[in-house]
Amino acid sequence: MTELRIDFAACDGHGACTDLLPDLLVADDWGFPAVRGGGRRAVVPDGLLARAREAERLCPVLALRLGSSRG
Amino acid sequence: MMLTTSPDRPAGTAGVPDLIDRLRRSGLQGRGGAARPVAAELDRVRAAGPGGVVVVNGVEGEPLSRKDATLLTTVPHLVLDGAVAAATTVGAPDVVVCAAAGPGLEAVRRAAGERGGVDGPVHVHVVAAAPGFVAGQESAVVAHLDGFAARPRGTGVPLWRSGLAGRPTVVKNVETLARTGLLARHGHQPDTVLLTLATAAGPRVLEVPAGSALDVVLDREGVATGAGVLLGGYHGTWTPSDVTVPLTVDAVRAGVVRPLLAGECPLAVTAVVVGHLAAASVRQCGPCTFGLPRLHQLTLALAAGRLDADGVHELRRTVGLLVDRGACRHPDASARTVASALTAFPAEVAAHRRGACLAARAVAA
Amino acid sequence: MAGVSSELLWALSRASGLVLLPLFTLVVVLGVLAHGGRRLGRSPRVVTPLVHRALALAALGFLLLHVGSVVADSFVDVPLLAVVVPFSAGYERFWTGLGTVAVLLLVAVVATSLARVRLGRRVWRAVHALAWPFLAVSLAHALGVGTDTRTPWGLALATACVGAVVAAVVAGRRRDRWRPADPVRRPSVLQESPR
Repeated sequence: MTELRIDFAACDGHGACTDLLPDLLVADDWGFPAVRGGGRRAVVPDGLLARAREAERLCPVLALRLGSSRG
Repeated sequence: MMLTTSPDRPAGTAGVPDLIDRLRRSGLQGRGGAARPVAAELDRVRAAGPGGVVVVNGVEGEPLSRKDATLLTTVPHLVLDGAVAAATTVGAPDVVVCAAAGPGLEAVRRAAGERGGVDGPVHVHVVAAAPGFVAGQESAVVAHLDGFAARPRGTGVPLWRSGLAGRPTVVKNVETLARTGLLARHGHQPDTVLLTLATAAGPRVLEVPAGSALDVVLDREGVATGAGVLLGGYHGTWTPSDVTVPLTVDAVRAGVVRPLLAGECPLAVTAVVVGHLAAASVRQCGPCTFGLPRLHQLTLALAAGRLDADGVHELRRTVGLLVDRGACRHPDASARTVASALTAFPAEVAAHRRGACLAARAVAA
Repeated sequence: MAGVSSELLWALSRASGLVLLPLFTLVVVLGVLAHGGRRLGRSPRVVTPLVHRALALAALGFLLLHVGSVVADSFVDVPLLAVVVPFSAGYERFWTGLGTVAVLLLVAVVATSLARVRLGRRVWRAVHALAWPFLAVSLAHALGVGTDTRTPWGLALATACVGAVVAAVVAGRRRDRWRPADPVRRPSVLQESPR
């Protein structure tokens, strides 16, 4: 299962990711991304994989990471 | 019991060969708040290879906690015995004790100087801690020891792989290592929990059998509880006084027991707690920097009776914005403490929504 | 026939060179805005880094045209090797050489940007900072080798480009630096390797 992880120590609330993945992420009151439905990681369905990779590539501070969940 | 009055001397625990087995059999859990099994953690650092570091975490950033300082002042050699035993087990040539400036730091510094050659190849260093609540988080301690600001690591390399000076590092609480010291010396450690009881007259450190009922312990200590108790420290959980809780390691976490006085409002205390937590943020992530002050603002308003139903909804929403987010657990745990107050005292919350306060009325009556 | 095509190639190299100046300026301006989290007008936030990347790749295409036409033009002595070895061309050795330096810097910036996720934040940021010397060297190259850039309107264009970059840096930076500055690093309690 592919997951999207947010590195909050790097995140500056630019908001490119919340634009690209509105089904998975929503901006909080200050522009920082929150996973819809809560949790630390966003599960990425196959249909949104390409978009998620774009978001990972476009984040100006490289605060997003796509990876597989462990277990 | 751990809080022994017998003289404290080094017992030469460098090289206890089956320490991890002893830890596994005793099921020792960490006493720094996370309650993780110690055997598995030492095993993992050992597997990472030799040349590691054991850090003794005596920072004790919880403002109400005194148990670690008490252990350092009364049994510093026991703590060092445990640290050295752990160090030789994982192949670490260095032990670094980090403690807040004060009698505890002085005592362990003196003790480290008194050990002569008893620790074999292990070298013990003693370093003053950075101040602040978050400074006690294990990766923040390592950052401080490495010469950086005392900020927790975000995502990234785990400490056991690369920690202090890039070496495999395990960070353990003072009490955890004191208990490890007892295991190294005698093969067993008492099935107790160490608590700091926050009373009106000041903090009181006591040791009780694990699983003791909270209300029984408080009764025995002569502490009357008002509406309830905050168990586990500023990142702990509120319990109403009509519920009894067994004092297990998982329940007590950092070991702080903060009962409410008669007439003391839980929501007012929660607001003070959140204020402290918000001020303690190291501001390295958005949720903490912006979310915690907002949470403080809302809990203050609730405590003052200025929040209506919409306001309480806004408070719950803000709590939801902080749970499971942030560079470390600080915003998450702080939000959960507020959530536990809302769950534990629903009648009080309802009263405050109407501008009243049950706790204050109970005293006036 | 050879003379005509040389005229065409010469015109192509000059024209593409002139276009590259404001084009790369725009790329850098967008990069500064993306770094600052700025929107373009009221467009979605993702547009800024998206257009920055798209324009950079377009500019790369124009650069290929520029370099290709210079090399193909037999009238000026700029061999293919001079594209990667600085100061080895016969024509305007120094100023052309600066162009080569600019190409090398750009290759580093673009190559690392295409692999930025794999390379990680620290490496990527360090190399991407070469965009600044790239821009400066490109400008020097344009002013030194370009016959058009030293005309009044050519100088005006160059000035406008510098002005745009300065304006972007001054006004397009992150609005609020909410993270506290890092304190000066103290030495670690332990050395890198065990005693």
